Amino acid sequence: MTNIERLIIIIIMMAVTMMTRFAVLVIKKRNPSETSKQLMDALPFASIGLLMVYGLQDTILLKSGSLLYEILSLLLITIVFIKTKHSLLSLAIGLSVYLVLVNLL
Amino acid sequence: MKNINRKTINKAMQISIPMIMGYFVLGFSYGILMQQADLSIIWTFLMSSLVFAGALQYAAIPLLTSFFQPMVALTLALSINIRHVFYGLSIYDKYKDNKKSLPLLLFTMADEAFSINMSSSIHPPIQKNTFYLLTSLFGYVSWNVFSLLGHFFASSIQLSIKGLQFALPALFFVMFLNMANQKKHYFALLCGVIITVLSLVLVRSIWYVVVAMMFIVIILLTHIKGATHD
Repeated sequence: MTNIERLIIIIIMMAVTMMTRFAVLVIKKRNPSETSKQLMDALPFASIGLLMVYGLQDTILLKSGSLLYEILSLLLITIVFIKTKHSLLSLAIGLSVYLVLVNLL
Repeated sequence: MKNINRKTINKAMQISIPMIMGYFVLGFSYGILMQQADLSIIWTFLMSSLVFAGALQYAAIPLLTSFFQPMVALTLALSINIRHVFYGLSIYDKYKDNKKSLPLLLFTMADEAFSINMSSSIHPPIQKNTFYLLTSLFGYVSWNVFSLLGHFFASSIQLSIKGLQFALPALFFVMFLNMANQKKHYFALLCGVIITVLSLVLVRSIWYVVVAMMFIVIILLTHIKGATHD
């Protein structure tokens, strides 16, 4: 892959990302129907569900090399989150324990 | 932006600390992964400053090292970042008065800045427009600085930490818990998970994300129409 091709890839990704971030300016100009309003309400939840699966695809397909540690870490994140409701704290604890397990054991 | 008061800066800084800590791990890991993929630091800089989308940046590393695949880049960017459309729609009412900074606020609208600004209730003497802009900029700057440091650090001392890429799925998992904690739209949340797992298992290529999105929209629309008829 040449540097020019690499640059094109980055520009495509920038353009698409900015389209998604600026789309509201175009959408807000129109009058959405009741159905599309309800869809807009529900979609962020569905996309977070999609994204969670996307991130964990290797774990779900049982292809990951450290499956047991990953499951352990996710359990820990869930427990800390339920106790504290603090997202980044649970992330920090779960990830640190995972990194220690993977690197030291 | 003329008279930024100290209280606004303090409040924005305080609220941004968890985000900056998270970005330390994720941005730093990203820099290390880019270096380990044998990419020069200029690519880390361009990705972080122009694209500024953590999940996509991680997912795009293979795209920057294999053969030229513009359509995959487009699909990947769209499928990973389409959620920003809904972020924009949710937060627009808070941002719209800030005409001058609106482009910058939208440009820097990543998951964390969105969730901070969406969930914070700001009252005088704290200036809300300045607050939104500051949290967004803290996020943007720290992500850029940490990813560059990660790249630089990895190449200077040959640090090899295994498993750093797990930061990404762990982040998504926490975001998922956060959404579930809002105690609404359980149907949409579960629909997102179940349809995507099914597509992943059945389609077995990166296109499964797009297939999943199509079916999610169809099923949600059917569900909404069904509910209105009842």
